[in-house]
This record gives sequence, C-alpha cells and structure tokens, in this order.
Amino acid sequence: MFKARDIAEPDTGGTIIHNIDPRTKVAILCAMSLMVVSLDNEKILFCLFIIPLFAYPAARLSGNKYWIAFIFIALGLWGTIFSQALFYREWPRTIVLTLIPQDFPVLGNITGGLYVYKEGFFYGLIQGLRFSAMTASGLLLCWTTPPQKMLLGLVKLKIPYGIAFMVVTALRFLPILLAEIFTVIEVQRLRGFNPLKIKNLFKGLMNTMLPVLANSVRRAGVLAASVESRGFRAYPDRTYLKDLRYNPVDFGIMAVFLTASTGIAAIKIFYGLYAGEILYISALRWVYEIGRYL
Amino acid sequence: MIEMKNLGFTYQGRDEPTLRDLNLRVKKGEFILIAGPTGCGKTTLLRTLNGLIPHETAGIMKGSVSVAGKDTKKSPMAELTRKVGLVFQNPDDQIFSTRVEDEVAFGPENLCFQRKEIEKSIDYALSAVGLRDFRNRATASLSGGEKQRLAIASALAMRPRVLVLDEPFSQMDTIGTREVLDVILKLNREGMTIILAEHRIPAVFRHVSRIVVMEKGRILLDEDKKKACMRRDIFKRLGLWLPEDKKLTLNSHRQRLQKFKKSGFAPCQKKIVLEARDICFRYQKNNGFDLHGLSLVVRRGEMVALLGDNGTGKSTLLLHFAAILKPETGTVKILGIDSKNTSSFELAGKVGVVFQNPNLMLFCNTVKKEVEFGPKALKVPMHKLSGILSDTLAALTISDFKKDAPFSLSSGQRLRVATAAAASMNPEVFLLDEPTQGQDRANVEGLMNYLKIKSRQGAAILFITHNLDVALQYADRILLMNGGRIVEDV
Repeated sequence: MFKARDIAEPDTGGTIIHNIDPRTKVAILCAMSLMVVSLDNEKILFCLFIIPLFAYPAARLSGNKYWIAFIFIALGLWGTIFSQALFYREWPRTIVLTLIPQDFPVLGNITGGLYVYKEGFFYGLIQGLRFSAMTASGLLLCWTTPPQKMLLGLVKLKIPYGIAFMVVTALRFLPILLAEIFTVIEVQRLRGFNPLKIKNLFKGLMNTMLPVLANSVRRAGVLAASVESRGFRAYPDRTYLKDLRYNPVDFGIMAVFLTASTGIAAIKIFYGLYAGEILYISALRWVYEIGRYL
Repeated sequence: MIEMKNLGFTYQGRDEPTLRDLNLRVKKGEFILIAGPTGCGKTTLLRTLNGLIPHETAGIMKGSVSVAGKDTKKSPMAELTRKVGLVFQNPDDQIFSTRVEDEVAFGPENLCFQRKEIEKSIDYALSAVGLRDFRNRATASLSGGEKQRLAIASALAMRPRVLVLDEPFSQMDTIGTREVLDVILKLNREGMTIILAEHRIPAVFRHVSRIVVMEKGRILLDEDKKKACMRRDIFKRLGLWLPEDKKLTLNSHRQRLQKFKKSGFAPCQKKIVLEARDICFRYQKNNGFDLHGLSLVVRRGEMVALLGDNGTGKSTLLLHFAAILKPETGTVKILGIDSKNTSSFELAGKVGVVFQNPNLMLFCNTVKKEVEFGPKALKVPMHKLSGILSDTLAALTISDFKKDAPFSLSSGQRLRVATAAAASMNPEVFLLDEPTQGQDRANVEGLMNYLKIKSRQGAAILFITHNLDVALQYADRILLMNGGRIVEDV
C-alpha cells in the first residue's frame, strides 16, 4: 500500500539523474514530445518509451514509485488501445473479435455491432506508446527534481516567477489533494453510498468535488497569506540561495536529444511534403526512405 | 511597539464589520494571548499587523495600525514583513519546499538578501527554533512539532521584531505543543514581542503577560493575567476554556470509573463490538510497523479515549475498525465480522466515522440533506426519516441551520453536522478522529455530552484526542498508544 504523498513528491537523492539540471530535463521533455508527435512506427515509439525507464534504476527511486508509474502507464496504454480497437472508424479495418454481433437482439440494433479491429488496435498502440513515453519521462522529471530547483529552472527559462511558483506549488500540493479525494470517497462509502459504482459515478464525482475544492480554496488562501507574509513578489526581482550550473553531462544529453528530435521532425516534414506531392528533391531520396520507416 | 487606534475592518462582500472600533497597545517584549470564540475576529486582527490587511485583502479598513512607528497602511509589505513575522495554524498548509533550508530561505530570497546574508539568516532562524541539525532534512520527514518550528523559523529568517502566531498548537500533540511553546518562550526571553491567538488557553496561560479576549470584533477584556483570572464569568459565557481550569487526574478518573461500575451501567459484561488481536500493519513494506502486535477489546456502551503523540498509530487503528485498512497479521473483528471479509461500505449504518477534518465530510447543499444522506442511501422508509432527522438535528443543536449550506457554518457547527451525518444512521459504533481539535469549550462540551448520551444508550464510542482533560472528563476508559502499541489502559 502506498500513501498519496508518494505520487507527486520527489525522492531526495544525489544520483546522476537528480543532478541533471532542471533546464536540461525540461529540454529533454520538449524533445521527447516533439519525437512522439513525429513518430508513427510502434517499434521506434516503444524504444522511445523505454529510454526513460532505464533512468529509473539509475535514479534509485523507491519501490512505490515503480508501482505508481506502472499503474499510470498500464491504465493509459490499456485505455487507449481498448478504446481505439473498439471505436476505430477508418478503412480498411479487419475484425479480429466480435463482442456484439449486428443481429444480436436490441443491443445489436442500437450499437450496429461491436467489434475489435486489428487496425484500431495498432492505432491505439501507437497513441498509447506516445502517452506512455511522455508519462514515464514526466514522472521521472517530477520525482527527481526538488521543487526549489524546478522553480529556479523555470525562472531561468524565462517563465515569469509568479507562474513558475504556481506550477511548482500545484505539484507540491497534488498528493494532499489526492489524499483528500480518497478520504471523501471513503466518507461516502461509510454513509452507504458507493461512488465507484458505475451508476453512481456522476453523483459520486459531484459529492467528491465539492468538499475537495472548498478545502483547496481554503488551503490556497492560507498559502497565499503565508507567502505574502514572507515577502512574495515584494520586489520585481529576487535573489536565490542556490544557483544552477550546467555541467558537461547536461550538454551531452541536451545535444543528443535536441539533435534527435529536430532530426526526426525535419525528416518527417520532408517526408510529409513528398507524400503529399508538394515538394520532391531527388537528393533527399534517402530522407524519404527513413521517413517512410519512421 | 504596536498601536491600534479605532481599528475596524469589513471584508469585501460582507455587510457586517469583522473588527469594530478596536484599540490596543502592545509594548516591546510583551507576550499577549488573544482569545475568543470562533469567528470573533482574532485571525483578522492578526492579519492587520503585518499588512496583509489592507495590502493583500479586499475590504474597508478604518482607523490605523502602527508597528514600530510605521503606519501599516502607508508602509509596503516588504517593509512590514521585516518587522512582523506571521505563523499560521497548520504547518502543512504553509510549507511548500521539500528541504528545510529551502523553506527558510524563501523569505530572505524574496527580500533580495545577498547569498551570504541568506546563509546567516538560515543559521540564525534554525538555531532559534532548535532545528540547526535539520538543515538538509526533507520537510516531509519532520514531525508535527518540528514542522511548526520550521514555520516559525521561516518567519524568523526575515529578522522580525514581533512574532504573531495564529493557533499554532491546534494541530499539535503534547510533545509538539511543548516543543513549539519552548521556542516561543525562548524568543520572548530574548526580547521578541509575541502575540498568540489560541483556543487552548490553559496550555499557555501561565506563560503570557496579558490576555485580550474578543467578542464579535470587539475587545471585551484586556488585562494582565492575574486580573483576567478573576473574570471567569467572561470565559464561561463565551464558551472558552478557563485560564486555570480545575485539573482532573488519572486518580480521579479511576475513582469515577469505580463509581460508574457500581452504577450498573458498566459495560464489562456486555457484547464485544470491536476486537483487535495481535495486529500488525505498516504502510510501506520496507518501513517499520505502524501497528505492532496490538490487541484491544471495546464493548457495547463503552466510551473510550485514545491518546498518544502524533505518529503512534491512533488514526491507523481507527481506520482498521472502519475496515478501511486491513491488518498484515492478526485479526480485527467489527461487530463480530472479520474485517478481511467486509468493507467500509458494508459497515455503513453499523459504524459511524467522523474524520479529523469535518470539511471533507460535508458534500451536500444543505445541512438537512447532509444528515439525510446516510439514511436515504440505506433506504430507510420516508415515514421514519423525518423523525430521525429532527431528533438528530435537535440532539446536536443544529436544527436552526437545517436549510443552511454546511460550508457557511462555523467550524464547531460543521463538526456537529458531520457528527449528525454519521449519527443519523444510528450506528452501534462511533469512531471519531480528534473531534476536539481546534474547538472551543462550548463546542467540545456540546459534542462530548451528545456522545456520552449515545454511549449510555448502548453505542460504543472510540475517540482520539490530544486533550487529556477531555479524556478524563468524558471517557470511561483511557488508552495510551506508543510505537503502534497500547501501553496504558486505564
């Protein structure tokens, strides 16, 4: 069993992953997002998905973090594949399993038949791998970057201090919010109402939102008063106890990711122009070959 | 040091002022206790001291507040935060850094201190609260008392001359309260002016130099502590804890228990409703046990208080008796059912739980709907429902608010609504997690008297409290927990 705190709170540690500059991590995340949007090949997307997973043992994350990552990724992957396999609307499509035949009384008429499509499965797999790669990378960023470092990183990336502070604080209070959601669900169950039953989902959601939101507003008020009392935005600028410095590892990682992401994006753009019969340059035939595979 | 002249404040959107024509002078080095019932304006008063009012709060301020000769209306927040440090009730709502030193550095960084100055401020602040060795610790690993000391250090890092604390002990256990109080007393001895708003008057009374009692935004009493002691009538009328309450002792509790047993009400022969046998439980496999070989039996009609410091396993035990947590080893039986074979949902109507924060227990639009929610979910017939509703509302003295939104009520009223919501299902077992926390005497008495009646009607009551006096006054049995075990059963 894990506590809600485990979900968003970073592990304190001095591993090589923790020591990567937060700006580098943000750059990696941007590069990853560019790559997952550009790529369509499920095998390469799978490779991209496992890259951040290799960094997990290097970051010496606690066992609970592995479970949480597994749950997030498995749910996202399963949900995307399942929904796309069922509701794929493109042609051609190949039925691999019939859940409700078209001639099935009532339900068959209403749904027009419910089938699992092979093409939908693969389309869902690609979407799911995109989601999983970003989830695995995003969780690694959150779990290996202390809020103060993240705040400084965002400020150095020219994000306005007020906004950077809000982002970091929201992440800090996410576990408390989750713990409160679990409590309100339990309260309802103890009063004879199961909010997790499908027919109760909407009412349960409303019942849960009200106290959690009210409490969040109250907590936000206290936090605001607390930071204002400590001179928050007292001056247009501020000083910092710690400073961020890139080290050679940061430059190396950034070079690899930025080169790979811009390279893949460029290849896919040229390939798209070629496939759309907009632009053809014979010297770029090797690029089109790679683009077709990617 | 501080002077308030004809101070009034009305929050934006409200018709009635929260502070009215208030005059107060505080000398350098004084230690002042501000007391008063919930909603009397204590917090608003404190927020005028460091400029949160009027600079950061929408509303109309009348009169003036000056701190060290500076009018707070005319002085910028940056200047005022260096004169007055403000610490709030719950440290978990204020601390947002994961490392101790980062949290303390936040203020000096905002005030543009240079790096060496920030370092010095951190050293000074952490030494002042006795957390110097905790500089690189994760804030999540601190105890409640340590977190509140960290919140004080964060205020001290800006080198204020006045420290203002808004109910800093309300979330604290005995050890935490002692730790924080020791720090405050040390700072006061070193010459710092302290202004403290607190419900738990007996805990701090002997240390303060002066008491200010507020009612409906006005100062009702402003006397040194000896004279304030003579005005017990005011404290009683406002439902506050008395400055020097008659202390109950464990011996008096034993005598009362003997009397109770002779009276025939004693539940020792009655049916067992809660039973834990050698239970062990831990939240994380790699960590130590949160409950460690604990055994306990609670019978029908018993009113049992569960005491112990934060982190000793009290709430964890309570959650086991609500079948929300299941033991790793050993057995928990709730009304004869093994908790492994049941769930909190199946126990609805049999076990009523009131959690620490009543705000999380209220999700309906009106008090009436809130109290009806459980019986309706359990499909209680309509003709019985109105009777249950009126009885429960009357017993917990909330009939007048039945059409009001629960969130518009005071904290004491919200607690009573949460209790009523659990009580309306007429459970055989009541579990309450710190129902007395942050409540004034009138609220605590109202609630505990109701629970006492329920226990005499046969319900088993198990409640967690940090207030030994409440335990001694109301419980038939007191359990003391330490290290996941029950170490005393009186």
